[in-house]
Formats: sequence, C-alpha cells, structure tokens
Amino acid sequence: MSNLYLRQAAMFLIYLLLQVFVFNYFTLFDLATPHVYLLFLLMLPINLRFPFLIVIAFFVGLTVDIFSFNAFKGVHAFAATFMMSLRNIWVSVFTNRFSYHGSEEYLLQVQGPVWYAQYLFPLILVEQLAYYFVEAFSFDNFPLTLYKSGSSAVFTFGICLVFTLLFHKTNKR
Amino acid sequence: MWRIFQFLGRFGNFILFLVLELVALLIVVTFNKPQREISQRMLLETSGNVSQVQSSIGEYFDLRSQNSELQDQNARLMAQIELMRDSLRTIRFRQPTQFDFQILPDSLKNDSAYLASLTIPIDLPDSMFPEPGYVFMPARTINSTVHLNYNYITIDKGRRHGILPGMGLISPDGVAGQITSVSQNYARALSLLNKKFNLSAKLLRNSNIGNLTWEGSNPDYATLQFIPQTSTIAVGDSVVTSGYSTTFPPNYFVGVVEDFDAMTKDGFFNIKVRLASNFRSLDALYVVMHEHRDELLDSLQMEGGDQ
Repeated sequence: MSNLYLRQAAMFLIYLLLQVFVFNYFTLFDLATPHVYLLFLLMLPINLRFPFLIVIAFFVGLTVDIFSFNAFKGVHAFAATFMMSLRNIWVSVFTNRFSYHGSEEYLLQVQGPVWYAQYLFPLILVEQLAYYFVEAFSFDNFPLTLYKSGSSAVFTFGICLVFTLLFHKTNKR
Repeated sequence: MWRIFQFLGRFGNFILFLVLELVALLIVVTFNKPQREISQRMLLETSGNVSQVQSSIGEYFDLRSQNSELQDQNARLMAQIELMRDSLRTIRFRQPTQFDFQILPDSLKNDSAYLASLTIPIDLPDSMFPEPGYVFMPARTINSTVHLNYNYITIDKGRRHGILPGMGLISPDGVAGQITSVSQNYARALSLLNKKFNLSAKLLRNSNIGNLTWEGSNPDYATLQFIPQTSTIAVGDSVVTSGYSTTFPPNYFVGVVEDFDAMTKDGFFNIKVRLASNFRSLDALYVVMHEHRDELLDSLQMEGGDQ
C-alpha cells in the first residue's frame, strides 16, 4: 500500500521535473505547449473519490505553476482542477460500452487505443481550453485562443501517447 | 445542524470544486499583471453600472440643493462676464481706432499723456483669460468617498468618450482629482483627498510654486508645502494650479490659505489650505483634456530618452 503511494509520489516528481525543465520550453510556433504532467493526473487510480481527485489536481497544478518560470501563476491550478472535476463523469459516460478492467497503469494495453484516445483527448482538450481562456482572461481574440488550445491539446496528446508507449509498456501483465 | 451536514453531503463536492477554482482564480488575479488589469477593468465596469443605478435613484432627492448650487454658479459666471466686459472696454480704449482720432481735436491727437488717460488700467487676474488648447468634458460623479485615507471618484465617462489615465478632473469650484483607470464607459480618479495625490500649486499673490498634498482625516483642508519663508503670505490668499503640465489648466482655483505656520525649521511654510471643492457632495465634474497632450507627452519622453 505504502509502496503504491511512494510510487505515485516518485511519478509525480518525475512528471513535475520533466514538465518544468523540458516541456515548458517545447513551444511549437509560439502556439502549442504540451502539458505532459496531465498524464500523471489522468493515470491516478480510477476508484479515487472526487474530493481527493480535485484536491490532488489543484496542488499538482499549483506546484507546476510555482516552478514554471516562464508562465502565469495559478493558471495550471485552475485548469487541472477543472479537468479533474470532469474526469469521473467523463469515464462513467462510456465505461458501460467499453468494459473497464480496473487497472489504470496499463490503460493503452488493456483497454485498447480507442478507449485510450476517447478517455484522454477530450479531457486534455478541456484542460487546454480552460488554461488558455484563463490566461487570456477575456473572450477577445476568441479564435486565437481556440486555435492555441486545439493545437496544444493535439501536441500534448501526441507526447502523452509516446510516453505511455515508452514507459508503461514493460509492466504489461 | 443535521440539515447543514446533509446539505454538505449533497453539494460538498461541488462546493469544494468551486472553492478550489476561486482560489486558483484569485492566485491568477493577484500574481499576474495583465490578468489583474483586465479584472480591475471588469470590476470597475460592473461597479460603475451598479453605482449609476444607485445615483440615478438618489438624483431626484438631491434636485433642490443642486438647483441652488447651479444658481450660485450662475451668479459667479455673471460676475465673471461683467469683469470680461470691463476688460474688453479697457482693451478698446487702449487701442484707439482711427475714428477716435478723427473726432479728437488736433491738439490732443499727439498728446500721449491724454491718450494714456483714456485707458482704464484694470489688472485682471490671469484666470479670467481663457487658456488655449483646453477642452473640458462634462461628467457626473457616480461614486466618491471622503472618509478613507485613499479616496477615489468614479465618473460616468470612459474610454468611449476619449478619457485617458492621467487626465485632470475639476469641479466647478476647484481641482478635484486625476484619472487613474479607465474602462469602456466609466473612469476612476484619484481624489484630491488621497494620500497618493500630489499637485503642483502656487500662491496667486507671488507665484511661488509649492506642493499640495492631503494628510488624511479632514476632507476640507489640504497642506501646501515648499513655499519658502522668505515670501510674503497672508490668510485668505488664493492657491491655484501652477500649469506646469497639461493635467490642469494654469491658474485654476484650488483653495484659500486658512492658516500657516512659520515655526518649521526647514525654511518652508507649513500652509493649511481650505479646499474650494466640496468633496462631500461632488456631482458635476469636468475632465480636463488638452488637444496637444500626446504631443507634449511624446516630446517629454523624447527628451528623457536623449539624456
């Protein structure tokens, strides 16, 4: 049990360091920045209760905010909390159709690529929308903000896919 | 009590979500400059709307006193017009026309002493002459305070009407404040009754420039500093704006000397000025615009850049 917590904490540290020192500087055409630390949040056990989920999301976002030296403060916290509040609802929307096997660690291998994309991409898109709209803090330049969120979401999803394939493959049951 | 727990059980998740999001937004607004500015603008617009509704309701109860105020102002304006007429007459006498020369007897035509006696010397105060380049945009107060250390005035004109931060704000009686932030339809001004407010003012008697500040507590009095003790001064002297910037027109009334203290050791008077504007009941105000404001600002900035 405590081993699991330690593992999660280590994962969080790795994702945080990667996000802060690598991916924050991965900006494509001044438009898209990948938020790969979201993968940590989305890989949290699916049976975690809602209050824990959003509190964890809030503090993970806040930590990323504090250490992101080239970004506005507090925006990640807002967007991550927003995304996590929708996670359980979103999962329950289609778990009936794609029967869920209960292991979050090996999502892609167990659930299949369709489930993976269906689970990850909309949540990432929602997070990016929240992030860029709070960053702009207004609905002026609406198309630009949409464009930014969309491209960032695609970029984030791509990198998350690579990450899952690379690092969650060896643990296959 | 049980009801409260029940309520929390049902909506607790949602409340937690709302609280976290609000905290995040608060962090965004507190620690980032652009977002803070946008949110302040939005806040000003909404609070301006609310205050406008409030003041439009209160307006009807205030008509009587406003009427008498307007009559006072009318009377003052009439007096000014009389003075202007007098000055026009002197100007005419100072420059006798050809016609005047023709009806004069020859002996007097070239007598300069006689011609000089025709002119009536009236020394008008400078404030009677209109200053070129100034435009006054009428505005109404929709919110103002006097009881704080940092008082602000909100007016019902904004960027749409050409108002920019830094412009001066005057009441019909005297200087009132300076615009600090502007939204689409409203603007907020630093009141003269604000510890951050600083006005370059002078004594009309001898044109000594000083610095007018407000020390808090009493909305009727301000302090004029840096008038040297070598200058003459009397209770009742007029204090006017210096006109060293385009924020306020030169020689606009600020107040009168109520009391002064020569016992300070730094060589300057400590002057108590009774303010002309009644900040407790500000209503009609004018925003001071200058048609060459941008040009002047640009040239000042260029000078600064050269150094």
